[in-house]
Amino acid sequence: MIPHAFEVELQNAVTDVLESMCFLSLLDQDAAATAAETPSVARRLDFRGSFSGSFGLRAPLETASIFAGNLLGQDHEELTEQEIGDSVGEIANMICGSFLCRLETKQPFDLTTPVVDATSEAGEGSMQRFTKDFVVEGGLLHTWLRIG
Amino acid sequence: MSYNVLIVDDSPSMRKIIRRVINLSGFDATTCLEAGDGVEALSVLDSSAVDLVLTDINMPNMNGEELVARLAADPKRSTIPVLVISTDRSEERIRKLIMLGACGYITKPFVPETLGAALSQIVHGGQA
Repeated sequence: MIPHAFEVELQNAVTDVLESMCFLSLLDQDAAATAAETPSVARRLDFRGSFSGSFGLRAPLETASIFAGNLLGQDHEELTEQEIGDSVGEIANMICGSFLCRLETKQPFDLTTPVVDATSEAGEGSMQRFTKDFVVEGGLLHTWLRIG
Repeated sequence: MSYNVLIVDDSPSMRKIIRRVINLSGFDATTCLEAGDGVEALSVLDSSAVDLVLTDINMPNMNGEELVARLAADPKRSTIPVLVISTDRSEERIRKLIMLGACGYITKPFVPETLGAALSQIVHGGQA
């Protein structure tokens, strides 16, 4: 179960990034009721600072292409898979950074370059793992967080 | 008046996004040059007239902190304003970059109005 403070700040970070950079809003709908789609685009990155761990997100290809199109200002149907994947990586980077800054304002942190997430989301060792799904205009956004 | 802007970020997508946001902001950029890290940025600065540098922090070869410090220490380039764009908005990081010589610091995500205001402020001699 995701701690309430984390859930609130993660939602604030997702809202901030998607509204300001992709011009998309979160919808007040039950994510569990939204049908899962495949194939999907997934990116993850690691962070180190007051908190250390990993953050990742996954979206159906169609949803990811809408994110990328809005982010880059291009028709989403004309984007390559590379452009879509890179854009989802940038979105992951911004959400993670925004989330961490909401938890810790004084100490800096480092983020790694987002990479394709082909791993399972299972926790590693003593790391705590949380997941949270969001319904966005255009589809479902699945996020996960591991904190050591 | 319009300006030549150098965007320094190791992500081609982020460079494209920043270029787009500059256009949306209404800031008058004649040319948006690009570099993938601090080393490339110095090379671009050697060959092109640049009025303003926008740089990320975490990059390979030469990161944004070193780039800011190198520009500040170079008498020929110390007058070129540098705006740092990063996801990290911690007080310590911002203080360090400003001490090194950055003119301003804005955090991702950002809206066009925020970037446009920061750019305008900097080219008119202020800090953002």
